[in-house]
This record gives sequence, C-alpha cells and structure tokens, in this order.
Amino acid sequence: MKNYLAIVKACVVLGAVVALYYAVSSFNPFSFLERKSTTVVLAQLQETRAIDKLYTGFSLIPILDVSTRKQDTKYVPRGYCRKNYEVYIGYEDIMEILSNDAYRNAVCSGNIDELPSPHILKAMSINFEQNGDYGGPCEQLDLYPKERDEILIRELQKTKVAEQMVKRSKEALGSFVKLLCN
Amino acid sequence: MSRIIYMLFFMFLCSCTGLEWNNDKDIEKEIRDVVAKDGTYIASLEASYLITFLDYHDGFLSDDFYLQKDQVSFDYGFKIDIDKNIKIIRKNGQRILQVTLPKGEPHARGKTTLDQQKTDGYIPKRDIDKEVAKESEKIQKDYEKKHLEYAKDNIKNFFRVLAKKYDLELELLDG
Repeated sequence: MKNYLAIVKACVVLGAVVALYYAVSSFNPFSFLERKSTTVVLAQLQETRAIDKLYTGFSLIPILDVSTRKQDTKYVPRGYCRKNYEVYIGYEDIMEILSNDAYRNAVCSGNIDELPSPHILKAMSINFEQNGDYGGPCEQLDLYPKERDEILIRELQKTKVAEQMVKRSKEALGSFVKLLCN
Repeated sequence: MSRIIYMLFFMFLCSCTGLEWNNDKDIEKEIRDVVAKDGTYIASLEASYLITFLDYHDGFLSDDFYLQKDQVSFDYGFKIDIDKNIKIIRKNGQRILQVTLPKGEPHARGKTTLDQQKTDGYIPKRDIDKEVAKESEKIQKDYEKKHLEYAKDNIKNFFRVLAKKYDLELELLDG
C-alpha cells in the first residue's frame, strides 16, 4: 500500500514538473516532426508583406542613335545622340509567383525552366549627349516607356550576358520556390 | 522512493534538454544543406556594364566616327561559410536563425568587345584600351555599394522565407 502511494506521489510530482516545463517554455519535444505547411508560410509572408521584389540582374546599356544624310551614292553620319540607361531586371512580385501552384509544382519536380522570365523592373536614363546635326527621336525616348523598354531589351539581347542573366534569374527565383516544396 | 522521484525528474530534464538541443541541431543542419545547395544563386547580383567608346569628328562635308562597344561583367555577392555563418541560437525562449553576412565583394567576370564600327579609314588618336579600362573602373566604383545592397536584400528575403518555414525568428548580422 505504501509503495502504491509512493508511485502515485511520484507520478503527481512528475506530472506537475511536465506541466510546469510546458508552461514556461514553448518547447515541444516532437516539433522536429513538424514543418509549417506551405499555405501557412505563404499566409504569414503575405500578412507581414515581408518580401516583394527580387532583383536578379543589372545592366548599364547605352543607346546610340546616329543620324545620316545621303552624300553622292552613300549615307554619311551627320550627328548622334547617346543615352546611358541603368536597367534592373528581376521579378516585380515574388509572392505572386510563390503562391502560384503551377510554378511550385514545376520547380518541386525539377523544372525550373517553366518559371517566368525576368523583366525590366527599373530603367532610368542617367546621361544624355548629343553632337553634330542630330535630328532623331532620342530625346523623347523616355516619353514612351514601352517602346524604350523594347529597345533596351533588344540591346541587352545583343550582349552575351542576356541569356545567362535569364538563366540565373530563374535559378534565383527557383531557390525561393524550392523552399516551399514539401 | 524520493530518490527514485528525483532521479526520474533529473532524467526527464536531461532528456528534454537533449531532445531540444538535437532538434535545433537537426534544423540547423537542414538549413545549412539548403543554403549550400541553392544559396549561391541568391547571394549575388549579376551586373553587366556596356561601355561605349565613341570618337566623333565633326567634319565639313561629312562626320567621322569610331565606335567600340565593350561589356564588363561582375558578380556582387556574399560568400557564406555555412558552418560559421549560419546558427540556431536561443534568446529569451525564442529560437533564432542567426545569419552573419561576411563583407560583400565584387567578382570580375571578364571583358568582351561586342562591336566595332567606324567610317572608312578613320583611326582615332586616343588610347581606346586605356579609356575603356578607366571608365570600367569608375563605373564599378560608382555601383559597388548599391549593388551589394541589392544582393543583401535578396539574401535577407531568402532567409526570411527559410526562417518562417522552420518557425524561427531571423537575425541578420554584419560580419
């Protein structure tokens, strides 16, 4: 009888210790079995607006436009305009991509190529130079951002780095998406 | 009997602490593995500078010019030592993912001449290579700080998602 009482006492004390332990710490000995679900992680990130843009590349692109005139049988230069642009490429809203099931499934099955290509996030003319008898539209280029971006993309595509920038941008984005694979 | 109770109590505390420590170490290992696998793409911003050398001569009948386009590329990034720079620590009962970012550095990836155009027979009297190198150095100096900040933002965002996934607070320190 005495032994039974001692065991009951031991259990009560142990129970109290366990309760106290859980009360003072948020420790859960089985937490290593748990990972937050993708939906919960996404909801928390959306709620805190913790992340938005992802900048993956930069390029300094000069736009050079040379005016010509006909002299005898050939065209000769008569002036030029040069503008340098700072161009940042990447993804505008990374949360939108992270929340997209199709992209996530593709990345989680190893198909990073199915992610969207990056686009121009920011393009800014940093200097302007005109010489000779230039009569082209260079000065007004910034009034038409869509056309300007198309020209900048074409210029970027002429370089050897454009293709690699797209590849690396997708890899960078893929690294984020992979974090949400189960 | 009281000895048994104290022993049980002691064993319980030891096992709890051990489990807790093991759990932190498991997560720390998992996080380090993820960073080792994918972190390199996040830890950098690729920049390519297109430099135009233009020598323009305003002539009476026609103008002469020499144009050369060069491309200089850099990676601005942080080399993270996963064992040294990534830790899980506990502060005031909270589990914290502590990431120490070493000093960022630019890594040159080379120079390429993309294009050359000129009017027939025109040769500029300036030292093209020297001017391109000088311009490249100036550009790199102008952008270094800004681009390292962008790379840092990317890495901060990456660790934010990672910390959320494992229910940790994030602490980013400058190394």
